[in-house]
Amino acid sequence: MLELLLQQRYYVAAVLLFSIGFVTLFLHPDLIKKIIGMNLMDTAVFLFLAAMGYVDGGRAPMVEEGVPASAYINPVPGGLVLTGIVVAVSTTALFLALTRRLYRRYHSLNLDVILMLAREGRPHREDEE
Amino acid sequence: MRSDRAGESWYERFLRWAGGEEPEGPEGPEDPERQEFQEYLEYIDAHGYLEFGAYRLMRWKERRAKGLIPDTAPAPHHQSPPPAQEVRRHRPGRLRGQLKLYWALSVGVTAVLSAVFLLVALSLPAFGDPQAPALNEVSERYLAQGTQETGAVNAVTGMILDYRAFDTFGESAVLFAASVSTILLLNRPGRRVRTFRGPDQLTNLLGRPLLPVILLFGIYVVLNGHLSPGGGFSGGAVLGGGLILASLVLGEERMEELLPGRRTTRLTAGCLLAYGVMKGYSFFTGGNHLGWDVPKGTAGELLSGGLILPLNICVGVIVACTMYTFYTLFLSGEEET
Repeated sequence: MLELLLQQRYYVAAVLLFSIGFVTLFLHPDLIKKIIGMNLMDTAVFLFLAAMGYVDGGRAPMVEEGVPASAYINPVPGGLVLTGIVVAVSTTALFLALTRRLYRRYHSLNLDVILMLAREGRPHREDEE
Repeated sequence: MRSDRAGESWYERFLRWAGGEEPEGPEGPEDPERQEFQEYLEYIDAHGYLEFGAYRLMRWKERRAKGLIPDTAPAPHHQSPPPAQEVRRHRPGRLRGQLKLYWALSVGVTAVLSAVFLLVALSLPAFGDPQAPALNEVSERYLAQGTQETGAVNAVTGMILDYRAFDTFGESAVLFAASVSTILLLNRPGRRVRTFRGPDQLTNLLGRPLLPVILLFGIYVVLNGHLSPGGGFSGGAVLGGGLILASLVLGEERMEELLPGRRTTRLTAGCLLAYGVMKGYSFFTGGNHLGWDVPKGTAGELLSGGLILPLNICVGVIVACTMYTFYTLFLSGEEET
């Protein structure tokens, strides 16, 4: 059992990271910490995908003359991770912009406070739009 | 005083600063913030440690108690919730007041989920197995015939910009959508208050020599996407970082002259359209591109790989402009404290 865990260590690490990020979303009411949790989950998925592409003894897929295709690692998961990283950056930026607007409206980063204030009717601020 | 230093170089200014000479004007001995900080240090020596923010809050409360501050000024700390409502941590929902049950349930659900994932992870094919089912004829074709069919030495670049170029187009569209949405959310015309006073000596000393190096390296990574690890995305990120450093070193007004917000948006949109046009011909010619052969060149040269080099440049420009747009949007709109 322990040898199996050690052999699949990258997948196990990816699952651990994913669960840490997942539980962060539940346990922290702070919006910034939720963003960090989402980024942890994204990173876990990237680790998992990149680890799927490894071949024992393979080298980076910069193709050279006369070297058989079996000497390289699998390039396909690397491309998936590239796309994933860009999408993660885009969603983080959008999430942060929404947090900025929410803070401007409610002057709090705590999701519980924001929901409570929104339910009761938001605070009156004449200096905003 | 200033006139006899009119012709000095940055190195002579650095020697004067290193010799312990006090700067004049801002950051000199007459700076009120510096005096406040000296008073804070004396307060700490007398009364024990207190955080600087807490010290400033204390002083502000004293001044307000004495009536020195008009009532409409906001508190120096925005984070405290309005004092009229006592905010206890409760979830508006059916678990109101049962916070501990909520925590236990969430940890339990996560534990069950991660146990299932662990079981799957342990029954996957061994890490690095050369007989893994994921290593099928698709990756073999990409590696064996990639250089002939795409002209790129880097198999991953050949894959994402030739075999699977439509996925990369969708990804650039996601970046563009995020950039546009951020502009819609954060564009606040009128009130643009600067929160820092501009580049100081240390930023100028380190940033100005580094800036052309960083930009050059970013351009190198973008152009060499098909020959070595790199490509549009990583090179674009380096270029975006270089643009942010330029904004810090040159100041925001100068960057507004050089690269205004409208120009970055137009660049992003134009490069996305160019990408679509360049790879859109595949819809008309079919997967084998019969009759529309783009010259591949010799593998290993800079000007090879058919359309991969222009596509890399387009993607690099999109990523760099998006990073810089995020930076300027998040920076402007800071409120006065």
